[in-house]
Amino acid sequence: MFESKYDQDANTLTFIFSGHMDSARCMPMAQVVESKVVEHAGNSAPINKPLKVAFDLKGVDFISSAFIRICMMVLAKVKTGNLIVQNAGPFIKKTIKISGLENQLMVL
Amino acid sequence: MNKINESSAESILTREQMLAKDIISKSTVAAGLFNQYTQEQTDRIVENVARVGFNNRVRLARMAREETGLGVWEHKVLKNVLATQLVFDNIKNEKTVGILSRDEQSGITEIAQPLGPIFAIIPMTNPTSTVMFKILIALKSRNPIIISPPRKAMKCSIEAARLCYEAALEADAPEDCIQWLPESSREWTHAIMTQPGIALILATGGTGMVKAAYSSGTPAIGVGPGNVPVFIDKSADLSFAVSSVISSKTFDNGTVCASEQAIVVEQAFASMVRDEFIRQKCYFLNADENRKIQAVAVDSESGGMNPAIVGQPVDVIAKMAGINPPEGTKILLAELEGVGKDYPLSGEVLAPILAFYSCPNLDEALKTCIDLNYFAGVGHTASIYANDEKVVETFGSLMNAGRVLVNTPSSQGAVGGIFNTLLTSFTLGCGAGGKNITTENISAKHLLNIKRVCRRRVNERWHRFDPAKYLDEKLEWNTAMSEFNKNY
Repeated sequence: MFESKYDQDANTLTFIFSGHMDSARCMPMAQVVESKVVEHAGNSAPINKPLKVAFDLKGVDFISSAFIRICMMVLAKVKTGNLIVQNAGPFIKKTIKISGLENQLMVL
Repeated sequence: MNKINESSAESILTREQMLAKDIISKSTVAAGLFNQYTQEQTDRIVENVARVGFNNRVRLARMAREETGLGVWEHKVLKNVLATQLVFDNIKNEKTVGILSRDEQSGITEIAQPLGPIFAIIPMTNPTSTVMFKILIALKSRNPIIISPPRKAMKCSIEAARLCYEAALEADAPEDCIQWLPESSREWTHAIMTQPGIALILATGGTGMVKAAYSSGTPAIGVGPGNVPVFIDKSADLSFAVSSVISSKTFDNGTVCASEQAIVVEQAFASMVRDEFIRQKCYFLNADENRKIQAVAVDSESGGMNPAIVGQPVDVIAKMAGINPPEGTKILLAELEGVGKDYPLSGEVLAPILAFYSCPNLDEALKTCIDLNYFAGVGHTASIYANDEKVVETFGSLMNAGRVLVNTPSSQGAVGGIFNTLLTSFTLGCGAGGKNITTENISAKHLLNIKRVCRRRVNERWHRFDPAKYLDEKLEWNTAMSEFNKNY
């Protein structure tokens, strides 16, 4: 479905997605992503290092509303600035820019 | 601001509002009279105005350079030629009067209808060419026009309008079909823009002016700033690409809003591109020089470009900044790491200064172009040098630009007529991104309302289908479509 890894030193949870992020694929992902974020957000992390979540979109060629909902769900848990979207290709970058979500999602 | 009491004493009008009413009432009369003109009468007027404008191209160009202190007079001559000869060439055979088309099959007849008085706002950067261009397309569509000259180019703009008006009258145009404001001020433009008699505002200029036009409640086509990214792909002919960019960015010292603003290349190719720019007499600023140029080129408070550097050559800008590039330098290049307010030179600068980006790979280069495009020039123009058609198509899909120019100097390419078959225009539609209704180059056809006379024709499929079936809740889409489209 997707890979995830946690870097304890940076307190960063990275999800690596690929392919077509349409509704059918995103729906079952949402719960898994949420439970992982909740699990790590509850870690006794230092106050000056809140949990960061990174969505790596290197292999993604399409994102749906369902994927944006996952982003919003994570954003509500980690607050703006702590959700990073990285390695998006030009077409995904343009999609996020047109959606007006570029600043909220911290697209790198 | 002088206030004048109307006889009714109900409302107090400013002097500008009173005079504006007078100008518009004259323009409205002209619109009524113009409505009777035939295609032949109209075309005679347009040709005479184009001829007189063309014959005065050098004098008007010199006047514009002298009055504004911007640009290069020889280049302004070329702009005047584009605005008269090539615009005329575009529109001369266009049908703009009466019945435009008649289709017996569909039963639809299209009839041209002029819009009414047009208010034309003129930018200081093209003060005579834009006047002549807007007058020609207005007259071709039988619309009277009111010119709002820029404050710093009053004399040359009004002279261009006056010459056109005399030429129009000589060809029997209605009186007051061309008028101009006697002064240039916010009060004046506001007074005219908000008059109900104005049918359309053709606004070319700064962001504030364009925004004011859209806020006036009158329909408007406004063209604001561009921020043209230039992607030079590794498949490009490098020497040709650099030479083309230089010829475009130095054209009239960079005053064209479609001129190049930033060069974007892949890292693996960057040193070759740098060397080629240097070989062709351009200069890469060091970090200290970069800061100094930024300080004179961009207003630190507003973040916009400093008007003092607009249309100035490199030596004048260098002197202002206190730097010493080699003599004969054509363009200054500033290497930047990012796009946005923290990188002031990543926005529009109408002078021979270019930002330069070296990106790790093709995807990152394209993403930088997207950032530049959306930062300050959405809807306007983008440019690519490449011979790989796949890269060209990808770039074209990614940019939000009315014009994506390929292997073409963008200043001259965007206005059309020289390097491509775009309509020659000094008002470049920027689509919804630029708050326009169109991405096309604006011409006479945009100043017409097309009426459609629709004769009765029977849609056989509709009449064959029993409408009572729609009332049956069990009728489903597939069945309905199948019966509706049945061909027997």
